[in-house]
Amino acid sequence: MNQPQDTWGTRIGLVLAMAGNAVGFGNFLRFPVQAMQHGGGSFLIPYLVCFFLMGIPLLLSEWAMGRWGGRFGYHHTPFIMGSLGQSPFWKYFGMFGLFINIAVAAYYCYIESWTLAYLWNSVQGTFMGKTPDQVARFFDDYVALGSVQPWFFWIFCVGINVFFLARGLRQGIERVALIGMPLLFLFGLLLAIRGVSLKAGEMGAIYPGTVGLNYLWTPDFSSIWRPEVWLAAAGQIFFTLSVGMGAVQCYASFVRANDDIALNAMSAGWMNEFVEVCLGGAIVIPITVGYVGIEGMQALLAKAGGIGLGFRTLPYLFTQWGPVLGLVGGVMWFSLLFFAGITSSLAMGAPLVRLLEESFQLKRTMAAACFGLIVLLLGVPIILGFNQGVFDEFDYWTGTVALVVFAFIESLLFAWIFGINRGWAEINRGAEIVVPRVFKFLLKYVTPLILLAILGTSMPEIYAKVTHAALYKELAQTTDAAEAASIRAVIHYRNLARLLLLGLLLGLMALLGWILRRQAATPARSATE
Amino acid sequence: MDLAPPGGDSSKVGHRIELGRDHFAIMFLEQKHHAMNRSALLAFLATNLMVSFFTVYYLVKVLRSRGYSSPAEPEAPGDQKN
Repeated sequence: MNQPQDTWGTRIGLVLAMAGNAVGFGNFLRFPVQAMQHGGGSFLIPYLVCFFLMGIPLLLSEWAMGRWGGRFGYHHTPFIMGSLGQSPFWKYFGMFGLFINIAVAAYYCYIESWTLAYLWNSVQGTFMGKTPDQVARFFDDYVALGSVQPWFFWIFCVGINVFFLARGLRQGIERVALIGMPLLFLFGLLLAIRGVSLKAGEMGAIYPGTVGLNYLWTPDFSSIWRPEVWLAAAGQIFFTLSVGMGAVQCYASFVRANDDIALNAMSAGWMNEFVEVCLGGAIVIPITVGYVGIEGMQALLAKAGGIGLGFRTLPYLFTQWGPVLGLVGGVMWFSLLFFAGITSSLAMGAPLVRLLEESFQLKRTMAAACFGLIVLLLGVPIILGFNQGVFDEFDYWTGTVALVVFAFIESLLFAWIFGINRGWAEINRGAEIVVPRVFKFLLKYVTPLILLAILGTSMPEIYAKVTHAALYKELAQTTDAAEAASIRAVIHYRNLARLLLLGLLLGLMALLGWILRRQAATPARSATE
Repeated sequence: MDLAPPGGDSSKVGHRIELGRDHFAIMFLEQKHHAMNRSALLAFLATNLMVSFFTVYYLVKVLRSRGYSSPAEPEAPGDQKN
């Protein structure tokens, strides 16, 4: 096997890269909306309970799996998981992790490119002097491909990802994390202070920022007893930590066998929580409520969700701060989102780059270029069919369902196939903190059960998605021929998106089969792999 | 103002003083941020302080601990040596 000489330069670089992998758009745009809709301040009770029962155990096990695989020179989930279980099934299942990374990267890079476009337009002063409707329409025109900008910034964004992936861990991914994460903290902190300290009558605000904060954090303890609140909390913890993808394993595989992973995992995990709870909860909602009030914000949320607040509403609100502060606010907000995005998308690209390097002896530049090409090829239908639901379809099946399936199976592999005793020893090898023994119990029983519960309770929703139940219901109710044709087109596009995903999955499985056959045919290679 | 908790032991003077301090701290913050109610403020402060504490605690531990001195070197499959 071709042994990559690449490695982490510093420990803090690794922790920041791992935290950057976890920190994404959801920390700023999804968490506050979830909290607000599921009990406000009391949402944090199920949220933090799920963090302890599921988030931390999954983080610890994924770090341990990655470092274990790294001992044998494996840096991607197919072979890392193959090193934990004897059956070839685990290698194929590991390929499922690679599939998730590629499919999520395909649409994630597109959102990432929005942040660059909005950053550019903020600097250009595009939003200055515009009405709220005009700023919102800018977003609608953007995703409707009303100009060349979406294509340009998307290709540019994929190019940036390829560039840093080609530079490797130390010079690429780690450097981005070392620069991007501190800036993300700084910008987030400044915007959070601005959001919380906003006063009525100041810079056009009609309410103080604390009204939004109050609305977000007022606990509704009766909501704690509702199962859907726990499901939402578990889902949020799951997606915010970026577990169940294979990216954590890839990064952790470059840690020495006797170096600590427990402290690193805790540090990266809590850092993500800080960004989500302390910063994410103090920017979008307080600022938006300060300008449009609670009812206004609810109407905006109902129309376009958290992403709508971030891209349709905030750019206008920043213009109310005046030409200089408005520019600074816009630059900080979209830079922050860009750093959150690129640190995650690089983590999605790293496993495929490693697979291509190790199994085909490709140069890293070529492997990174292959990743970029695949993202571009998959991205075209996502961009063209954005308003027809192709983006949502990718997000639902790969960024939602597949993650839970992968995490559930990998938790079984770690605790029951590899064995909880070996797994626990691996977590504690070189640990610089005492990991409470309760996590051993959680890893074996509680975490898989929670994941199974999430999957089980999601089955009706998954079934409804598979059958397009909501769309067919809409179709049955409409009497307008044009609307009916539009719904049929959406169903058609969504089915095409599914075919595309299935094709990607089958293609990757075939690729792994070919790699394994090549290895079997080369005795010298199979001896080491 | 009775600062003892309902049904609480009034002989626990220290507890009463602590409760009193918290009480006035909350009142102060409520006046300063008059738009926030007490339960929202408590939820906000408690969660933010806890998350910030653990973040700083583990980050300081990482920064003060030994770093990774050399790259991970792959071992042969099945090699279990430490």
